[in-house]
Amino acid sequence: MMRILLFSLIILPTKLIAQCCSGGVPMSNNIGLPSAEKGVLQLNLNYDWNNLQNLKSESSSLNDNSRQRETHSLLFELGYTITDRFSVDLFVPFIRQERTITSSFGSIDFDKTQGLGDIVILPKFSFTDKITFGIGAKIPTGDSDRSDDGITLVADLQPGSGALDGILYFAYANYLNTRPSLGYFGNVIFRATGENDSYFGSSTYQFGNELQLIAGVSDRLIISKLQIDPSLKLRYREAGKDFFDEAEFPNSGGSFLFLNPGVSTVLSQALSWQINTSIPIYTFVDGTQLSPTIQVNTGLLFRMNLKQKDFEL
Amino acid sequence: MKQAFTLTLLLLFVGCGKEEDPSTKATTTIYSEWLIPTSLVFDGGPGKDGIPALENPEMAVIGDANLKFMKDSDLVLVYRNSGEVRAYAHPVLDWHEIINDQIGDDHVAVTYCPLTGTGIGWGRELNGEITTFGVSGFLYETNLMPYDRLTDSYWSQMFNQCVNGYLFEEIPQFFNLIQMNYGALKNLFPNAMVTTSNTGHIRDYNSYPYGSYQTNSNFLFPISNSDDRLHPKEWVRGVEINGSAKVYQFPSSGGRELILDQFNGEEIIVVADKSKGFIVSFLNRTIESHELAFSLTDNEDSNIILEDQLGNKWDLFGKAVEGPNAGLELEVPYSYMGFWFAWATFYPDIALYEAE
Repeated sequence: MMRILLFSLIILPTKLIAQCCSGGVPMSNNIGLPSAEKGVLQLNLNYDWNNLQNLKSESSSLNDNSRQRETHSLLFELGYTITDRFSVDLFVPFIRQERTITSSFGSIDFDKTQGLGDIVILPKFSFTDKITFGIGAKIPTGDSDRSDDGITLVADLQPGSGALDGILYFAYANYLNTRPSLGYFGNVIFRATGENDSYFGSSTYQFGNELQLIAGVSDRLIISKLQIDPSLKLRYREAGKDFFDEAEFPNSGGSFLFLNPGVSTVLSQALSWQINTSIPIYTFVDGTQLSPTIQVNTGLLFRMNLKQKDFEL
Repeated sequence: MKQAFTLTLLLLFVGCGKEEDPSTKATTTIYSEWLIPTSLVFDGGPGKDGIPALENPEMAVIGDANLKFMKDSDLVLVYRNSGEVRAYAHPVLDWHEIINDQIGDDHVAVTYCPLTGTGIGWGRELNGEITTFGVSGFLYETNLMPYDRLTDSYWSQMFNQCVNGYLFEEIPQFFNLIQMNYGALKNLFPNAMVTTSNTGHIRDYNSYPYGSYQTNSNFLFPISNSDDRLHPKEWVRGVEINGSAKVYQFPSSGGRELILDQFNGEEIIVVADKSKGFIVSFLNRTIESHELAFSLTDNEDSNIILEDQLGNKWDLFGKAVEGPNAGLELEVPYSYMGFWFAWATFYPDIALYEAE
């Protein structure tokens, strides 16, 4: 029972939602499947919608809603626990980037790209049931030179970043002894970004390094025999400035604080469902950028023990 | 809960494959034929009209409270018609790039690219109709590409031509703009009207949106040719004669300088004043078989900058305002201010004026 509870606690913070405009690779806050027993295969399917419509100059809102950026992501994450301590996650995103501008003259300009994003491989080691550490890589499998009408689009509209990134992952989850259903958790995810050396042909582009700190609480409620796990998280994201040909390019960096209410439920022994949203409560962008307005993420987690033959969905 | 489960599955499998509703999401029609290599045309990020051009913006006389955001060192682009002088402030143009305005009977689009520093006046009458220009969001050689709202054709500011669309190969009408600093404007044209910060948009006109870009050696988009004879962001005035270009710098001394030069068969007159931030250029002319011999006037706090051997005095716009030929004007060649790298990129064989 405690293991299932910890499973719930860990999955909630890790299934946070994508962060744009950090290059259209919404993975840093989605990665990291929960710890599981040896032989357990987990498949996480998520849909993630990220809407950016608030144009800001640093922390000041410019009250300009003419621009809109949306990222729709279909996120597949496959994890297998090789031993009780060691597991590997594979994260495969399919991304659709949209940009819509409604001019004051009434015309609408719309651009999009879509395709396979950058795949992430994350080997993880669980020191205890409560602490997991991972170190992985984001492999540039997504295109970073997509064009629209023959014109190459900017980096943050591309499905991939074109760069090999390193990822450090840390997760902690625990519960109150006085109320075992009430858990608390924290995550640290750091992405050291690499350089795309074929941006716009022969130039280089590098997204800023990204750090995310997540802390939250979750509880378990039984309502009409239904097991409901509400949660509330605070997520801080710090992204450095981007670089074009090694020159600062204030395109996607900044500091962001989000409030993430969410809920999940175990549908069966093998299947759980979650939905959460992300509401920005503080934003400071580098230069002038669209900042997050709302994000919604929902998905299903299938969990099966390949060593047990009595598995049922 | 079953409904939630179904909804999730629906989102999962439909989300990324959705088709846009054409009634709500229009796309721009871009012709297949381009006058410039599309390999050097890039999407700048904000998208078409993501940087909002202005139309007939509010103007105020110097000293007005709505001009408090202007510092004496800020640059302006000055246009004059029928005695009316209007100044378009760089701090506003940095955020809007194009100002569509009417000065007297002139319908002018003040186009300004913050990345190349180039400010050029274009006529807004196309195919016999008055229209406006907007910011396409594309950059060619890291330079502004306007589009016109009459035909949705795409233009290149420094290429000075329509490069894609219905008006393919059309050349816009050129209007001479004089760049100077705001302190000089107050001094030389105290009755000028200046763009205010009441643009209808909320922007921080006190801050420059591109950080240290104007002074560093970096670019934000690729260029095809670089030339290290000068610092890439040094302000110069380029003059194009028959497809070739030559640039003129501010005097290193910091004062005012008169340059009499020959280029491509034309006699060029250049007056550069570093403290006031202007470089102007004219083609010499003859009056009744007299080729004019110019010299600088003594009073640098006047907009009358030149005098000739016939007793004429000429102002910053090249108009004789005193003397026997008052009313005559010097022809202004196709010329404008910009960063050195931009001129060197668009004109790889560009000449650089060097005093003998």
